[in-house]
Amino acid sequence: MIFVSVGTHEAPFDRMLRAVADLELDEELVVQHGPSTVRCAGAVEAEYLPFDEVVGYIRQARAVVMHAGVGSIMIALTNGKRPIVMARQAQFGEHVDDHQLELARRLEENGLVALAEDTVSLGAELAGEATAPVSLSGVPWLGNELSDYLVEQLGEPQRQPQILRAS
Amino acid sequence: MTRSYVVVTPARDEAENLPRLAAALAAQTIPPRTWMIVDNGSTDGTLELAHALAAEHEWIDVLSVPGSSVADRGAPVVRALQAGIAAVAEPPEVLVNVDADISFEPDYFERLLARFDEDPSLGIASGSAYELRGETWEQRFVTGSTVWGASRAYRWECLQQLLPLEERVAWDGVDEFKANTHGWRTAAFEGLPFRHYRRECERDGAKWRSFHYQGCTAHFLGYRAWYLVLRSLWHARREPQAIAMIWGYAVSAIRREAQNADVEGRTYLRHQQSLRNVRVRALEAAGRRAKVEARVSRIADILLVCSSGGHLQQMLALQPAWGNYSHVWVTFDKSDVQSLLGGERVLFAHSPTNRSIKNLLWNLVLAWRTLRTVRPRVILSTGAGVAVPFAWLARLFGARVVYVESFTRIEGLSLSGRLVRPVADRLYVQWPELAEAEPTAEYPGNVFAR
Repeated sequence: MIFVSVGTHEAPFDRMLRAVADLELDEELVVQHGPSTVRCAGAVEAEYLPFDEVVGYIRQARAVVMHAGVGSIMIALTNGKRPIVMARQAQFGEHVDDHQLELARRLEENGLVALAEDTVSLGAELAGEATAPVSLSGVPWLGNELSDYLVEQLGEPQRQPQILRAS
Repeated sequence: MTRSYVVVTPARDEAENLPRLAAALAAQTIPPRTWMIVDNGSTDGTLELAHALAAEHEWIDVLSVPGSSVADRGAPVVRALQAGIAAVAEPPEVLVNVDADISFEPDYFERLLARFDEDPSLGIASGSAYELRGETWEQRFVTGSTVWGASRAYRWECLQQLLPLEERVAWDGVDEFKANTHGWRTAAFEGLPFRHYRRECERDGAKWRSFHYQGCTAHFLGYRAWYLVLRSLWHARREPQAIAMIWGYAVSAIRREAQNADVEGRTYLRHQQSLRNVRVRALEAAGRRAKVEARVSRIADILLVCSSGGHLQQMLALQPAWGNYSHVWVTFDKSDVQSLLGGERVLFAHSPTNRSIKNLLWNLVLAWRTLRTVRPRVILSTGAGVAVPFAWLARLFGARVVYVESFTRIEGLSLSGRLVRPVADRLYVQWPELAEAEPTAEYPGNVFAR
């Protein structure tokens, strides 16, 4: 299954959905299309999905295709997926500026996302093996340092761990 | 071992309070050698009551000095106290000025005297005051060297160097800093509570007037003007009338009122009020506040402050670090928050925070209320703008500020990061190149690497 989402931005992102549709994939598709008008044949579609379901689909999916919004990328990364992203661009009326492109390029350099510019590169990314986000495995976790600081300030925690949401 | 102490209580119209204090003194594990009640013009039978108490207990003495017809503050109390001191036949080791409207536990003086034993340089000392707010006794706070006037113990040698006492309101502030200039240590001790049944100056009705007098006294002592302003603003957090201190100070300055002739004392005071020392003293006061309130009224250890969306994701990615501490959230009322933070204690901030002065002000109000109620010891934020008012006010409440710059920031700090930077105890960034560009920041890895 491939999960596709244009995020929750108020502008449509037809260019990305057309790139997906043009690939004519022989695979199950779940698409959150927002205000976009392009549709992918045979896909399970929703304008907006509840947050829980987004997380559920991301975890199940073989690959995740998203707009390069910070929130979307974060959700994918926190759920163990390296998303294939397309950046919204101002010249196509997809966003107010090109910050998505800048961010996506930097994150791609660090192996956290795969940046697709068009149908061809999107197809190439989808054809490859899904990889775990690389730089997440080589670097330390910030929480270790934070944890030390909190113990220094507050002492060892007294309470049992409180799990927000079962993984 | 210090055993002998004399208690002096100036009393005007205290018939209501004296029996309670008499009982508290009679119950002391180390009783006072003498309790001198100095009546100064009571009209409510205080003098008669004092005589009755003296007839009952041989260690109680009564003295009467003429009172003042108007309730002019400070001077009559000091005259009564000095009369009491002068009437002491044989010098005790410690003399304690105790207001009529307090009481304490039976071991109060035993423990207070022990402090004088432990530290030969201790000149003036008290316990710490608790006052009734609503239905609970709450501690009132002062900076470390400030001794409560309501229960004020003087080492006899130290007291001799302070006489005659200044006949004015806030005389206790004057003698305290005189003691300091003579090299005596002064202290109010934590964990040695006494109960104060009436807030200072309430009986004269006008807090405004009392604070105004304090301003005049500050001028007399030679306070630095900016220090006085800061001090009155600090007190105004709880008692808005404290602003009157500025007025009193300014009026005295304009009228060129006389100032303390003791040049050495004034120099000492100004040194105490230099920027560096004030910082240390403020931190000290805030630190103790934080410590004490940790025991009495803390709702949560950590306040988690972040926007919804990606910032919330990053906070959740750090959950193993903070999840075992008690916490309260401040975030936005958005769909991801609703679904991710079910069952959590969540306060909703006003959004959007970008370029909205109105929401900034609302969030300042929210931050003030939240910090007062929750009393967190640490504020942890993963951004963005909503962190700014919380981080700045956190300093006033003695909480530590930890700011984690967003994972999306690689080349430079966000605006929120730059605004929080001056008050942050820890500023973490998630890219090594950003830590290089930003010397105040640390790079301990990123939030997702776990």
